[in-house]
Amino acid sequence: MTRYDVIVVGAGIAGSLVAQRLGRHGRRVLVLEAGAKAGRAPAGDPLTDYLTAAARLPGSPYRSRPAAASPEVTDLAGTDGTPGFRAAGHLLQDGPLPYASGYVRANGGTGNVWTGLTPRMLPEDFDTESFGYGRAWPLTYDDLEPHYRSAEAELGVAADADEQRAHLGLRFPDGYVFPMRPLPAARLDRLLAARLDGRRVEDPVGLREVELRVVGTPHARNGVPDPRYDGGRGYVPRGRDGRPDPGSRCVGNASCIPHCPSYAKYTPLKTQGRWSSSVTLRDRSVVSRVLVDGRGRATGVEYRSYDGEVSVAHADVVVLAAHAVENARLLLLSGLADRSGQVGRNLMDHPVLLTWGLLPEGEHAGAYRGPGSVSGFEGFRSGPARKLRAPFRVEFGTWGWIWAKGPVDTDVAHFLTEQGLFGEELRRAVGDRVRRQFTFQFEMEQGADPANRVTLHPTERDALGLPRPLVTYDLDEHVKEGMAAARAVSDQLFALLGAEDHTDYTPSAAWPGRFEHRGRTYGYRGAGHAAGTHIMGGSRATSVVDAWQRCWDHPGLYAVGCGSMPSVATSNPTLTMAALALRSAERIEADLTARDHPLSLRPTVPGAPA
Amino acid sequence: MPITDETQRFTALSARLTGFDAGDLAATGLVEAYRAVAAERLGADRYAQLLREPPDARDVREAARAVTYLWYTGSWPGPSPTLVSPRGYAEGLVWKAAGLTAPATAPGGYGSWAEGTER
Ligand SMILES: Cc1cc2nc3c(=O)[nH]c(=O)nc-3n(C[C@H](O)[C@H](O)[C@H](O)COP(=O)(O)OP(=O)(O)OC[C@H]3O[C@@H](n4cnc5c(N)ncnc54)[C@H](O)[C@@H]3O)c2cc1C
Ligand code: SF4
Repeated sequence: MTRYDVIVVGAGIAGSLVAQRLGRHGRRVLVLEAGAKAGRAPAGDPLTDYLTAAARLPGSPYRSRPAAASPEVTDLAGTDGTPGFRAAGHLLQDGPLPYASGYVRANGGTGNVWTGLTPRMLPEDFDTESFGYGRAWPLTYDDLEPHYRSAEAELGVAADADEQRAHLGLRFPDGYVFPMRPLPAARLDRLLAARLDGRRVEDPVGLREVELRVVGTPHARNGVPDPRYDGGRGYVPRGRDGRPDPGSRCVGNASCIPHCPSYAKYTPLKTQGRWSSSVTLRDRSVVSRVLVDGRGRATGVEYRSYDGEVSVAHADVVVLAAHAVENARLLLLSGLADRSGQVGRNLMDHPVLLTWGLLPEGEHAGAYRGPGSVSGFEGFRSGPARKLRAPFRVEFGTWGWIWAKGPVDTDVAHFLTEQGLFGEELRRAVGDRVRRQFTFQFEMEQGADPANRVTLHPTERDALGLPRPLVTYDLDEHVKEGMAAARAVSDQLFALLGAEDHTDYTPSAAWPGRFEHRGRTYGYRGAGHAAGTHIMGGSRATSVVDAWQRCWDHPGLYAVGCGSMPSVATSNPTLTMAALALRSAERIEADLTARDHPLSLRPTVPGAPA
Repeated sequence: MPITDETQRFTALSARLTGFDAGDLAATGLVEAYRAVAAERLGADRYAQLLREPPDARDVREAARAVTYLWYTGSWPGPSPTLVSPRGYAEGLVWKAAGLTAPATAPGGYGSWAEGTER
């Protein structure tokens, strides 16, 4: 049997990056991936590619397989009564409110279908305890900063460092520029900037006024390379399978979720395309248990093929990178790493309050033409208002009402069925509606709460006979107060714009995430940003992994991914996760070097605990 | 393909239902495909009735809506609407009504999402 240096469980963004880094050092890495490798598109036709990925046609690469099931959008439905939702399928739930996000188990993971927005966390996000909620990180923004830059290189980020510095207070080394210039603002962004920049809105919950400023969001999608990057060496965009593709640009397909037909958006397949030959990917291999020796050191894993055959692989280091929910499930299935009792606990997401409407008559938002969101308002993320309510980031949704109401087909059905229109009248009504649509997406920070958790279902099993994950989830007052503030801000934005507000959280079946708060009804969606299930901390008594994402209790066992994040902050979390994963890869390389040269004197990794 | 009487009648009906003229509909290249889908899904009797009666007549209203929905979205309606063909999605009249193109079908190029605004 081949002996490996490292086994990586899961070939999503985190796992693919760790394997790439270690492979570069010549390490023998086995990547075990539960999902199937996506087959090559039959004709390579971009439209067929997209429609297949969107599962409008059979053969979708992201269709869940029974042996490696994952949550489907249709698994969650709202109901009348208490609780106001029902969960079926892979991820079962028994909490007061639904955990409303999914993930993908196919090679490349959720990173195939993600939007690709890559903001950094704010320096103050690393310690919210002074605001009275959440958990502090065992590292600071400055500790992570160099790794943010590595992640921005690996993912290929387009953004404006000066703008990020000026409007978000982010610290960069002097002269830092992103690999690519910022994406041009969307038509909607420009319209909002022209009307709203410099205006002030009241936050009745945070008890202050906020000045509005439209700020471009960093994107992991190809734009125009910045010749100043890397000390003037520039940057070469990567295309399909990570090949250098200097001309690759986001061309505005507006289909990034679930698939970018021009390969402008970063996916883990780009990183996999750059793996060295010492990295082996074994797909359709569902890891079911981590193996340890008598002293608790990780020695390998047990995994199963789709027909249930059990195999074992051994290595010096095991890296769990199976996504926050599945990482926790694996640790629980193995009965490991839980001396603190925190495995599976502190599940966080960005619950998203959506508000949507129509621009004033005769105007048009330019919907469905570029990425789903290009810019946003960043002024509600920081400061003392966090004591009173959850902070939030505001994304401008440029794909009409798709997230709130479904695709444009819904608008057609509305005018046909509810209004009985045909002919010229129908054509005018549908055209007007789709042109004027826009959405605000208020992404709330949710603090770590041990009661929000993943456990193993006591009776339900998946197709391989493994207990299904069971989620218990709720939103606390802090988040609900954040949503109340967001709705009040939204009301003022609509008034300032003279826009028609169509926000309405009905019918209940379409809004599993729905609650009343101070006499008003709120509906939320899940952003897909699962975090916190193997939380990182400074002490083995209260956390699952240390600052290097090493399981405290088990030498040689790492758990990487958003599951390690002590706070999910208000930024889309994947860039931070990628930075952490790259940092852990350095630590693993140092561990392996120590194994190979136990007696030699070697420089210690900066900041490494002794 | 010969333009049959029936094709012509289906086109005329579709034009009345959708608000797009016969030329626009023919340009999608889907008239024949949609005629066949409608005939199959509705069954011979209801299909014949739809061609015969004014589209807002009570007893054909649902059939008229289904055919209109097909033209606008490329899918036949139902609890989970089924897409007839990739082309049907790309040629959906909903996009044309709004002066847009369907996502992933005819990208406008880098920065096209900024069009129509100065600054
Ligand atoms: C619709 C959507 C949009 C999003 N947009 C953004 C965005 O714009 N910005 C952002 O920052 N984040 C975004 N996210 C979140 C982002 O996708 C995740 O943070 C990220 O993909 C997590 O990476 P991961 O590698 O930890 O997990 P994943 O990408 O989920 O990969 C985990 C891998 O592990 C495999 N696996 C699971 N179980 C096992 C097992 N038992 N054995 C072997 N392999 C296993 C899976 O098949 C998968 O390949 C979005 C999420 C969704 C759903
Ligand atoms: S807008 Fe289109 S080209 Fe750009 S990243 Fe999204 S899918 Fe790719």
